[in-house]
Amino acid sequence: MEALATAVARLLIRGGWLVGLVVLETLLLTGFWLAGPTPFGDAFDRRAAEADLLLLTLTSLPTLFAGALLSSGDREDGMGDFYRSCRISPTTQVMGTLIGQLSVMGMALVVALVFSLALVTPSVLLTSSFATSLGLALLSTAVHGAWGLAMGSWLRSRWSAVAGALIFWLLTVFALEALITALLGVLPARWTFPVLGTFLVADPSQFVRVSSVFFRGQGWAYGPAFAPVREFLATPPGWALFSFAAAIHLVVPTGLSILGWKRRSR
Amino acid sequence: MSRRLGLHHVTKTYGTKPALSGATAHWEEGAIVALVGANGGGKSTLLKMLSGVIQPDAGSIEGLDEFTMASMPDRLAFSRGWTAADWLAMVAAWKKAPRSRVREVLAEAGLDDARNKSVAAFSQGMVRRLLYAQTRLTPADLILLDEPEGGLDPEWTVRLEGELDRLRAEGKTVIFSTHWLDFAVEKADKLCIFAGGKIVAQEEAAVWRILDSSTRRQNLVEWIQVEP
Repeated sequence: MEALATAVARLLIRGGWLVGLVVLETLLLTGFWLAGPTPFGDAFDRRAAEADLLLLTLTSLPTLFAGALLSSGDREDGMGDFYRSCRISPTTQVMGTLIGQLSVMGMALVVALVFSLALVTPSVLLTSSFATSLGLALLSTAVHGAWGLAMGSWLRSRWSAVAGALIFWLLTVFALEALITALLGVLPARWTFPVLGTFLVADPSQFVRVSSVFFRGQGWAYGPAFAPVREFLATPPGWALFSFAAAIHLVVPTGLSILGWKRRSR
Repeated sequence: MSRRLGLHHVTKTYGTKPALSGATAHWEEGAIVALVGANGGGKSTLLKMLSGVIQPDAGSIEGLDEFTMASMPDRLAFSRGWTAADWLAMVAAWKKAPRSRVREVLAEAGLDDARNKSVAAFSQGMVRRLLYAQTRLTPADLILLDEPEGGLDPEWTVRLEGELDRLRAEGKTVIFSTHWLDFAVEKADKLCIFAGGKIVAQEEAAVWRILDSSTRRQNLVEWIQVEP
């Protein structure tokens, strides 16, 4: 697995992903910090919420694309078949690819985030708010990378995998949110908590984004029904539950990827 | 006791299309077997099954676990970032081969000067040599080669013939597919003729050696056309 992860990381670096992402993310983030008053202050404000949104939008699309391209590329190029002939199991292949991908995408994110903040307001690098955002952005990278791999292992070609990744991104980042918001307007009030709660936990993009809000002790906009959730998340069992849910968001797409490759070997 | 590789009514279907049906054959350890026949006849499907890439839908393959296997695929496209040395180093890590073997097999394949170049820029023949080189990283006693001669220039074609002689001298079992009938007849012990997803004939290569090239081809075409 280690050899494969190293090889995947090397391929992404040589393919220009690392440099491209660092430049893109640094430019966007620096511009964002320069436009706003105090990014990542200890208090959670509108700008911090926007920063989270920007980070999650930034991290999710490239990682979805990279995962989809890596996995569908292995399929189209015949590398997946070659792994099997070398007795590399689908599990090792998927885990190695995911780790290699995350190491590069995560590195790009950390470099861009630290560099852009160091340019504008270096003091915020030491705040807990920054640590929360960075941690959740890395989680978003992992979750979306895993979904990208899952799509690449099931769809027929690179093009269909990229198209699938784009549709997934539009759906989870924008379309589902609009749909749920519209739905809540017509549903009875007692349905608000179960519908919104299910959506916020099940949608990987929203799960990471909303966790970021709740971890900062905020989220009044979701209504009083979510106050206990916010308080619960601040406790050790709440952390355990969050970690479990985060693990599910990683395990489901990873499992689907492995299943996709196993299906091909049958 | 000599080991044996056996196929018992091995069948593989993709969707509704049978890629291989009812393949039955037995090969002794040390045999050199050439799989010849029509495109889509089932040769690559059988090699993929022997190398563990796919599993049969029905039937069984006996004795495979008793061999250590090395396999050369017919097709592998490389992303732009792969160099020959990096790719072989990764395969060497999987096969637990010493790192020093990478340089050795690169030199054997005549790729030492190109070791740090992108494989995507290699000619077809260079890719074939690289794919063959990875089979040499660790000792194996069953060698599976899918169209090993494809894209090789005359010099490396002669070297490939020499490689098969060397493998024979070392007592290795070799199963290779090819469209180059004379090469199969001259280098193999047995010819396994495929058509329409079936093994239509199994012949001793020695019998074909007395025929001239043109008659061999004519015989092969006739076998393919009598596909059951």
